[in-house]
Amino acid sequence: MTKKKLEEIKDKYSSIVDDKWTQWSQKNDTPFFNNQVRKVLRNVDIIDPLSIHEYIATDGYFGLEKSLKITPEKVIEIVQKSGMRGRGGAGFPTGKKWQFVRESVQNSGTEAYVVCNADEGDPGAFMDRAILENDPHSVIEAMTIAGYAVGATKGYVYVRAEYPIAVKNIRHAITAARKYGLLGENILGKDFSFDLEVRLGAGAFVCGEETALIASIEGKRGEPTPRPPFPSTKGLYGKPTLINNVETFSAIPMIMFKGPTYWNKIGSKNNAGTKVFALAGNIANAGLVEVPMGITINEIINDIGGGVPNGKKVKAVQTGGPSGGCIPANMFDLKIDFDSLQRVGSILGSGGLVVMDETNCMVDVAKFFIQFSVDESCGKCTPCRIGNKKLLGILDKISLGNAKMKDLVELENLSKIIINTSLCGLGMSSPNPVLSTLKHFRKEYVEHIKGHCPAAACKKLVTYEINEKCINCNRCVPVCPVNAIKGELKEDHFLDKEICVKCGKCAPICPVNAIIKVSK
Amino acid sequence: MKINVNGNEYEIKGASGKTVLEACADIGVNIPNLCYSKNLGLLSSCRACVVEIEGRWNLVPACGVNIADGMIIKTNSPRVLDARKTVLELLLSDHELDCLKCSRTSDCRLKKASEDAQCDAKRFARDKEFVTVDQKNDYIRRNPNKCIMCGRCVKVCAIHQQVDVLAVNGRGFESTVGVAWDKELGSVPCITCGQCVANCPTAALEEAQATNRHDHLQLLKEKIADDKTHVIIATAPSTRVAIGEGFGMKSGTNVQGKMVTALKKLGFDRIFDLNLAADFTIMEEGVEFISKLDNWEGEVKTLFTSCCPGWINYVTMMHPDLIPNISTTKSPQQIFGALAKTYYADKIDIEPKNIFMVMLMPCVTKSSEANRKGIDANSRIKDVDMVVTVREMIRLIKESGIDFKNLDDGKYDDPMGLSSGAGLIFGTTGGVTEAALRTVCEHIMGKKMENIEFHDLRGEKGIKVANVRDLKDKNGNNIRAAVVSGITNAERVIQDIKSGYEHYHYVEVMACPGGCVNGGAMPAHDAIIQDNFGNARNRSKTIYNMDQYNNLRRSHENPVVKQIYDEFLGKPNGKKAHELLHTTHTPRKKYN
Repeated sequence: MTKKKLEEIKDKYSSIVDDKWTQWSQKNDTPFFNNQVRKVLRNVDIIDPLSIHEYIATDGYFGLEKSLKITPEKVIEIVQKSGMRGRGGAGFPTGKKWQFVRESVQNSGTEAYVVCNADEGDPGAFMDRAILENDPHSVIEAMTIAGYAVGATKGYVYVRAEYPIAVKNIRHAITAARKYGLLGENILGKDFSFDLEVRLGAGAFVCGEETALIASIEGKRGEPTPRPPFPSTKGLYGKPTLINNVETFSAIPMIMFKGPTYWNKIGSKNNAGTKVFALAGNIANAGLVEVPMGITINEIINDIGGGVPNGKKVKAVQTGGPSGGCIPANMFDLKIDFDSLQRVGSILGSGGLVVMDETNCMVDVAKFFIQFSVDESCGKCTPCRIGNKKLLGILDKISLGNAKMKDLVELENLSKIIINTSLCGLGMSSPNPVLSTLKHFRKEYVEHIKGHCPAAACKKLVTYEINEKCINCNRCVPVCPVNAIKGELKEDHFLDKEICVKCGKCAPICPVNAIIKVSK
Repeated sequence: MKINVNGNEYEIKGASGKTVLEACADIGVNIPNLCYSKNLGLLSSCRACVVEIEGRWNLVPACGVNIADGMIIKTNSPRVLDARKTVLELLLSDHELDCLKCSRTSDCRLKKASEDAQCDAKRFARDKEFVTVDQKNDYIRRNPNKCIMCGRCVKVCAIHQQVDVLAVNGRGFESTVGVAWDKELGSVPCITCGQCVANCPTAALEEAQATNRHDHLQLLKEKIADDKTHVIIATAPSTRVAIGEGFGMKSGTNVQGKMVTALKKLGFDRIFDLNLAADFTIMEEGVEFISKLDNWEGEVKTLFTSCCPGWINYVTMMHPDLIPNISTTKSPQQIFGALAKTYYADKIDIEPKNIFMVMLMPCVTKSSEANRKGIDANSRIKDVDMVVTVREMIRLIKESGIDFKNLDDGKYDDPMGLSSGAGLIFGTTGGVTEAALRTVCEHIMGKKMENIEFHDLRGEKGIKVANVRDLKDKNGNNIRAAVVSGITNAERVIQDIKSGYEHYHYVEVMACPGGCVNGGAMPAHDAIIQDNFGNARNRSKTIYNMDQYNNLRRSHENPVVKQIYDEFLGKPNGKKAHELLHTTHTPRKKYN
C-alpha cells in the first residue's frame, strides 16, 4: 500500500460515499441533527463499516500516511496542539499522555503497548459502541498512529463481549487493514510495524479503569492496582502502555490529516473539540448527539433534544453516569466542559446525559446510581466495597421514610470518606450522585424524612387516590390484583388505601386520568 | 531525606524506596494497617493506613506511597482519624464480632486497630448474612464471617506457595475470599501448609484439627487430668525460639528453659525434646541416602526429604511419579512417636495404649501427618495422639495463668531429652541437609571434617545449592545438594530436575518459605508492620547460635541415639529400624 494506491481507492469510491452522505443529510434534515457538529461521528450511519474502501474515501488512512512521514515527536506535538483531552472521563491531555509513554519507552528501552479502552460501561452510554460498530477503521488508524508516536508495535482493543457487532466489525476491519498493508509489517512501505489484537471483557464496569483493564487483558481478575506506577511507565505485562478511549482515538486520524486546528478551532478554552453525549431520560429526542464543548445544557436539551415531553417540567440532568452528579434546572445555562462540570460537583465522564422531570425523585435517582456502584464495585478496597453498600442502606431508609436528620449527616460524611479513601476512580467518584443531589436537592431529602416524596415516586411514601374526574366506568376495578377499588358501573368508585399495594396497574387504565399518585 | 510528620521534622536514613508507613514506623509513629505485609508486596486494599500528604487532594494509603524529600505528612489530623475510624467501622459492621472467644483475640490486627481508633462497631447496620464455617478441610478452618478481604492469603498461596487454591470470588459487596467454584477448602488441592493462616490478620483462617471431638484442646486437658494416662510432649526444634513472642518477647528469643517449665506446670508427665528424633532421622536418612545414591532405577536420581508434611502433601498430589524418590525415613515427629510407644513404653513399663503422645509444633499440618494412613508402626496404636501448635500452646499457657515471662529455666526429662545441635537446626531451612551432611561425611563415609558449618546452605534464599567436595558419587562427581523452601521454589527445582537442566543428589524441601521457623502456626507477631520473614530470620539466627554453642553438634555422637540403637533398634536401616522408623508414601487425590 502506498499513498498513490490510497488515492486511487479514494477516487474510485468517493462518489459512492458522497451519494450516501447526501442521502443521509436529506433524511436527517431535522434540528436534532442540524444543531450537531459531527466530527467523531462523521462516518457513523453513512459509510459501510465493513468496507475499508469507503473509509479510505472519507480521507481514511491519509492521517496515518501523513504521520509516518514526520517524526514521532512531531506527531505528539500535533496531538498536543490540538488540545485533545481524554474522552474516557477524566479529561487528561492526550498529547501529554503520549509524551509520557514515549519518554518511558525511551528511558527503559523496552517494548510498549497501545490499548484502546472500549469497555464502555456507563448505563445509557453507547458512543464507543456506535463508533466501533460504524467506523472501526478510525480506531485502527488512530492506534497505529499512536503506536508510531510512542514506539509500540503491538496494540489491544479491549471490547466488552456484550457488543457483539462491535467485536465483529473491529475484527473484520483489522483483517482488512492487514490485507491492505495498513497493519502488520512495514506499514505503508515504511520501516514501522504495528499489529492489533481484540480482547473481550466480560462486562465488569470496573474494567474500564486503566489498571483493572490491564489486569483483565493479562487474564487476571479485573481489579485495580494502586497507582503509581502509572500505566504509562509500568502497564500491560509491566511495559509502558498507552490507554485511550475509543472516542479519543476516533478523532485522531482527522487531526493528523487536517492539522490541529481541525480540533482546536471548535470548543471552549482548555476544552477543545466536540463531545458525544448519550442524551436519554425524559426527553423528546433521545440518542447520540455530538456537540462542541462549551455548549450550554439548555441548548442540548431544547435545541437538539426538543425539550421534555408531555408538558412536564424539567428538573435536572444527570451527567457522567454513576460517577457523575445531578445538575438542577436553574443551572442549565452552564457551559458543558470538563472543568465547569467538576466545579458544580458533577463530571463530564464518558458523556451520559440523563434528563429528569418533576416525576423523578432525586433520592430514587441517587439510589439507582449507588445500587449500580454496589453491583459493579470489584470488592477490593474497603470503602468502595462496604461503604457504598452502607450508603445504599441509608438511602433505602430515607426512601422508606424511616430516616432521621442525622442520617443525612452520616450520608454526607460517609460519602466524603469513600471519595477520599478509595483505591480507584470507581470508588473515588461513586458517591457523587449522592453528594450532588444532597447539595442541589437537599429539600427533597428533608421532605422524605418528614414522610413525603415530592415527586411521588417512592412507593412507601405515596398513596393512590381517585379524584372527582372519575366517570364511574368501572374499568379499573377488575385490574386491581387485591380488589382495593370498590364500586359498580355508574356508581361511585373508591379506593381502599389500607388494601392497596401501590402496584400502579390501575392508573394507566383510567381513561380520564382520575387515579392519581399523591405524596402522603 | 527530610520529612515532616505531624508538624515535626525528621531525618530518615536509608530512605530510598521506603514507604510512608515504614518511614513513620522508624520514627515511632505507628499507622494501623491490616493488609500490608513486608513479604507479600503491595495490596493496598484495607485503606486503614490512609494519611494526609500535602499536595494530594485525597487521603493516600501510607503503605503505597514512597517518601520524598520535604514531604509533609499528617497521620493524626481529625480528617485522617475520622477516615481511619470509619474504614475500620465499615469492616466491623459485617464482622462476626465474637472477639472474646476468638482464637486470635490477643493478636488480631483488626481488633487492635479498632481498639486504638475507639471504633463503634455498631455504627453501620449489618448487611451480610452469616455463612457457615468451612470445616471440610481437616486442618484449616475457614470462617468467612471474619474475613476482611485483605487478600493476603490469596497472595501468599499464589506467590510463595504456587498452590493457588484461594481466590476472590464474586464481586463488590458479595465478593468473598474462597475456593474456586465456591467449593470447600477440603475439596481442592490444598496442601494445608498454613501460610494463609500465618498471614491472616484476623481469624478468618485458623488451624483446625481432625479429631472426632470438636475441641481437641479440651480433650488434651482431660487427658492431662486423667491419672491413668501418661501424657508426654515433645517440642519441635523451632518452637523454643518462637513461643516467647506470644508473651510479648522479641522474636527469636530463646525460651527453651521457660517453655519446659511452662509445660511441666501445665501438667505434662514428661517433657521431651523432639531434636532427639531429628538425630534419628539423620541417622536413618543418611544411611538411606548413601545406599540409594548410586542405585536409582528411574530417570530421576534425586533423594527428596520427607520430614515436611506440607511438602509431602504437595508432591504426593502433584508429582506422584516422584514418590520413589522421596525418602522413606519418617519425620522426627513420627519417629519420636514410634519410639515413645515402643522403646520408652517398655522402659517405664507402661502399656502403649496408656501413653498419650503430644507434639508441640510450629506447623498447621503436622496433625495431618499424624493422621496419615500407614504412618503408624502398629496399626492399632497411634504413634502421635495429638499435635498442639505453638499458637494453641500460648493460649493454653495463658488460660492456666502461668506467668511465662518470669518462669525459671527447666530441663528436658530423661531418657529422651538429650539432643544434638544437628537436630536443633532442623527448625530452619537448610538445617536438615547440614545436619545430614555432618553425619554422612563423618560417620558413614568416615571422613573427619574440620568445618561442619555449611554456610552455603544457610540464609533465607529460596533455593540454595551446595557442592560437597568430601562426597562423590560413582562417577566421581561432587555431591550436589539443594535446599528449597516455599513450594514455588520447590516446583522450580522439580521442573529443573525433570527437564534434566539440573542434577541434585539430595534435595531438602520445606513447604513454608524459610522452613519451620516461618511455620504456618507460628505466633503472628503483632508488630506494627507484619514481617514474617523478618521474624523467621531472627528465629533461625538464634537456632544457629544455639547450635554453635552446643557441645554436641553431630547426630551420630548423641549418646542417647547410640544407646537406643544398641539396646533396641540394632543398626540404622536395619530390620527393626525399618519397621519403626520408615514408612511408604502413596499418591493422593487432588479433588475430593
